Amino acid sequence: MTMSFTAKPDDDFFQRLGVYPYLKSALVLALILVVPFFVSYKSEAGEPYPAVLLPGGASLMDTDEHTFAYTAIKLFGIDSSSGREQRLDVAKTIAPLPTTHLIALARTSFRLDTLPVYGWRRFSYGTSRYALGREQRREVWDWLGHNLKKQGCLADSVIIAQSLVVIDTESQIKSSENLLKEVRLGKN
Amino acid sequence: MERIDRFLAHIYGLVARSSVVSEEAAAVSRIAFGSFILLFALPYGSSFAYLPEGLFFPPGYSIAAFHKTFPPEWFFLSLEVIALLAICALTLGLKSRWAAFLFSLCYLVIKSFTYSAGKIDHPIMLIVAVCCLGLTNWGCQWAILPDRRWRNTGIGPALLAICLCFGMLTAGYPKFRVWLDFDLSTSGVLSWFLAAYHNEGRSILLSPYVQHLTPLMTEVMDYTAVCFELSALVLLLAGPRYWRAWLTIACVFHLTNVMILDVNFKVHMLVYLPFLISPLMGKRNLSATSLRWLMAPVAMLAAYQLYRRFTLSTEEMMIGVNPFELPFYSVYVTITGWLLMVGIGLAAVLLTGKDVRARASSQLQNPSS
Repeated sequence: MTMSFTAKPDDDFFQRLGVYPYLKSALVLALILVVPFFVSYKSEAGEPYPAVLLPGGASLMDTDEHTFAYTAIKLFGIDSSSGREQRLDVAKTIAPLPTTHLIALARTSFRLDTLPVYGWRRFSYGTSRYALGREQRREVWDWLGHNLKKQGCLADSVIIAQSLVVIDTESQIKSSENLLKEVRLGKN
Repeated sequence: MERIDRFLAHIYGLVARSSVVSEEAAAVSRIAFGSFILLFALPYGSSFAYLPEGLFFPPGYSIAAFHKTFPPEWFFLSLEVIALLAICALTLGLKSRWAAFLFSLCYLVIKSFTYSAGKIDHPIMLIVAVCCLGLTNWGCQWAILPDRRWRNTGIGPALLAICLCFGMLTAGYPKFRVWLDFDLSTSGVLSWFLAAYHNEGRSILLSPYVQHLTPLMTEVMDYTAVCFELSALVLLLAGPRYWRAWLTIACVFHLTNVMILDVNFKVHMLVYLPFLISPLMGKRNLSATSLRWLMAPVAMLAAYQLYRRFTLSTEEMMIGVNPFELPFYSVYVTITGWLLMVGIGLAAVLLTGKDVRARASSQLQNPSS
């Protein structure tokens, strides 16, 4: 069987690449495109940047049960005058970060947890797990405390509550909300 | 090896044929890119300089991973100003090729640091497009200080088309594995919609109607999304008309996403634009003199953005004010933009072939052209 080939544009560029120019170009392109995809898919190091990756977001829900459940994250502070728990405004609490950072911050308790280190960062830190030092923790609390005080709350205490919210898909009304996890963070 | 190389040459020929962008279309795209970025997408990172070192946790593989903390404000400010000046130069055609690469470098460095606090956003195609189109002659027409003309102008658009197809593949592949389950009792689209509607409070034009869709309809939407995202490369190889048809469907896809989920992906308008306006442009002489009207608005907008940036207080940075977000932007601007893109796409599909035939006949009449 013979294969017919179309005329090749940009010939003089490819000629400058020597032997097998298209193969060489394809390999370089594959390296730039495919390696980051595999890293993001298979490695625990997460998504590299910059990389040509678009969001997949392959979540799935069961429509038979006529309910939809999602995990909601809420932040609470301690009201400085009454001493009672008060719901915090996410945007004001994590400013100047956008609210889309809440999930990442909540998952790591505002980075106060000991976290695994991956990729190039492992070489620069020389360790596979990383915990903030005393000075870094103080800086995180200064930032957080400043944002808590602006909302009339104590600067040294914040509560991260994760709950499972169930919505009735026919009436679109919340049918239940159960607390899954509550993390109480204190400065000391 | 020889055979593989010849096969890849054949594939490249198909990609280059479909992704052709005329010099005139590239010049118009350059002005569209510059104006759009100046209005909506200037990179901003100075407020991150005020975050504590403890929140600096870059992705494992990132430029920022070589650094130990967020850089100081002067570093971000310098890059922001260079990026702004580079984008003005790109818009007006002052050595556009250099301006494009300088802007891309500043943008990538700023974004590498702003994506080091736990969340990466995905407007990556914007910068891929600027870099790829920088390899064309987009700065040779309608340019105040034109670029040197390159001969190999097919490479940039071909690269952009391949990157776009690959990006769509990375989005479609995870969905393909989960959403294509032939089970009417599950839905991917609905899980996206309900999470956005209830958890993030995104309610927009068509949102109230989505809950009334039948399981069959939501299942069809799942499969449509998967097929659309995975079919880009096939249609790119099939020919210019198919490629432009895919791009037009992509515009409809994004328009639907805005109206249902408030997910706009507005930078993709720019990515699709050069491919779609190419058959509409024809041969024109876009001289620099006809660009003079653009100088005043670009200068005024740049001055306004610089003024906003330099009068931004530390307190405003601390509460997350982005000085480059202009107040008139709304979701309706995005919807109008996507509607316009659908119109351009339909015209491009209808005109594909006619432009090729016209050029072929003009070449027959005047072989030296």
